[in-house]
Amino acid sequence: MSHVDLGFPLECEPWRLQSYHFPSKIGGKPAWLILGDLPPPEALQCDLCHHPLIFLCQIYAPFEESEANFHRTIFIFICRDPKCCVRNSNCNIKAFRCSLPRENKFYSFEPPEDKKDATFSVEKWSKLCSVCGCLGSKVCGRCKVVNYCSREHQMVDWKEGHKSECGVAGVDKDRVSFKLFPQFELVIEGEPHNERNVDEKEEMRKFEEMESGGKIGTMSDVAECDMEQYAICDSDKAFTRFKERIADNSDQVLRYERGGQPLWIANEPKPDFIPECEYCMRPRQYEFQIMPQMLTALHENELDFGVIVVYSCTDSCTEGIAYKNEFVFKQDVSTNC
Amino acid sequence: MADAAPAGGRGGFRGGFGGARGGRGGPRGRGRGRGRGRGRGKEDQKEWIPVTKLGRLVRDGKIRSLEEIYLFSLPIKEFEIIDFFIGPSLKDEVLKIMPVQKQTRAGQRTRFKAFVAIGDSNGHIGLGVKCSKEVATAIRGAIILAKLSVVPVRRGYWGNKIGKPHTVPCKVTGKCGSVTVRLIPAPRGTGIVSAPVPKKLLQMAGIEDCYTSARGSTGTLGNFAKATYAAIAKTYAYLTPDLWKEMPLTKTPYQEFADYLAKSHRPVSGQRPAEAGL
Repeated sequence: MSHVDLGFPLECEPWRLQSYHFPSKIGGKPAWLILGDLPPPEALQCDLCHHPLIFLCQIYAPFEESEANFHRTIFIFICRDPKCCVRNSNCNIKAFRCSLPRENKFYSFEPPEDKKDATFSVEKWSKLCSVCGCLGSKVCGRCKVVNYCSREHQMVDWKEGHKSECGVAGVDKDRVSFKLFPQFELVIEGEPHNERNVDEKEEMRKFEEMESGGKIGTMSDVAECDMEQYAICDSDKAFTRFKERIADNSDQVLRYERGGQPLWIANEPKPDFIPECEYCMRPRQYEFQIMPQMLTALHENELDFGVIVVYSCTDSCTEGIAYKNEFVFKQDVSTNC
Repeated sequence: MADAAPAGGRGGFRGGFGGARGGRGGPRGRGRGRGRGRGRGKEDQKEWIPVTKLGRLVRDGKIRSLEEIYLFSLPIKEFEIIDFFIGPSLKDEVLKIMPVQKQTRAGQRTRFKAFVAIGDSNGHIGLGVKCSKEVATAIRGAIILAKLSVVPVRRGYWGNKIGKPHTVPCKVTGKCGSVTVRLIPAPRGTGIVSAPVPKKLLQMAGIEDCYTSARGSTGTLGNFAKATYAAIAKTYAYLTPDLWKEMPLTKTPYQEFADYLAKSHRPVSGQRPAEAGL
């Protein structure tokens, strides 16, 4: 019996998606969990073009049985250059996992109130790039007020409006770069179980009813083998099964089932070997997958993928750096008809 | 404080993905449960959310007609694409439903196999077959597969170009394995001279008159189907004299829109106008 959690996009006010609300969201800037020790720009580069990756989504997935994983979030970054979308290759996607115990120096021990907290600011702990929200170690050479993670983003911000305000006017903190995806909250719902036990006798009775009513087809006298020769049969069973499974909730953008099996969109390729966690050497297991409907929700027409499957450390180890790399497998829709 | 019911053991903090289970399906007091309008069960026609890139382009209206997709031989994996263009004019016909039985250790297992042909009498036909434990599921599945297998059929004249086209434009042959199927133009009033199944397919495509000739080993499953489809597809592949005029080359939909998007580089639907920064 599989228990799958589904994620659905929902528009919501930006303050609900700040770090202190521990959100699950897609698009916009990342709402970091541990506010210090952020991944450096070198860790957030596309393997192909070496440009900075853009935040795609994050999910809040705590481990109820582990104190050190009381807060736990996984972040996904992707390269927005369509040329870096190589079929069935994960070179343009990176996943990071981060955990925090309930008692920590960034957030209160008590749950946050359901309203905007104006005192909260990430700037106290780390400087962020004003374009993408990642660690911004570089600063604008002229006004020294705005931070960037890389030269590419400095050039982007210059064109998008910093040129007119640099050193002259006040910096527009509300400007949203066109590099970012549109922002949505991820709402969690369980996948309903559809166990339909088919009664064979009942179905046979229905069939016989149709037969006597003359409804079993206008060419029912043609032999099966003659008929079958003319029919194109289903050549991509994995895709058909995929569509059938999501049919009741076709707007889902994320499927979560820690330790379960992914819902593949094609028969191949599938990963034959999942690398073990590079920090604790324990094996990794399937945790969740991103569905292609996310591209529709983000109104994205250039990038393309089938499913992005994320495997994470079974123990969710907490020793070492704050943001740990996890294994991502991308599967595209097969091209044979 | 927390609006929804707090999860036990987390002292009021909201749970996330993979949290404690409550009842079956529906919002379980996690997330916001802010009424996405769901949980009302299956309602009227659900909106189609595409899963493939071609589906997304079709949904956004970037592809003008089904013929454009055929022109570039792009694989169609979602039947909603066919529905989008010619859905209203498609008529499906159940050709045959039959029970098939398989011997298992626990007795016999009966499933139902449904053959459905679909066509719009205006140059498009498809035939699908699906096996399932339930009759209704088999029919529904066969209709979907029939839509996915839709091919365009070109019609022409036997002699004088009077009235509407009524037959294949020229003699075409399709071959698959050892099976060859040949379609030959026929004068008006001949009707379709062929075996029952291709006769039904050609009728649903809108062809009124045609001679056919088939040859080869009939035991090979699927080869007759592919040979017939190959023959029909050849109607568009054959270069008749009226197509001798030079046509400019066009870009594939993927290429055409990649350039457009790279140039304008603006999100298709507007972004949120104001967003508080961190």
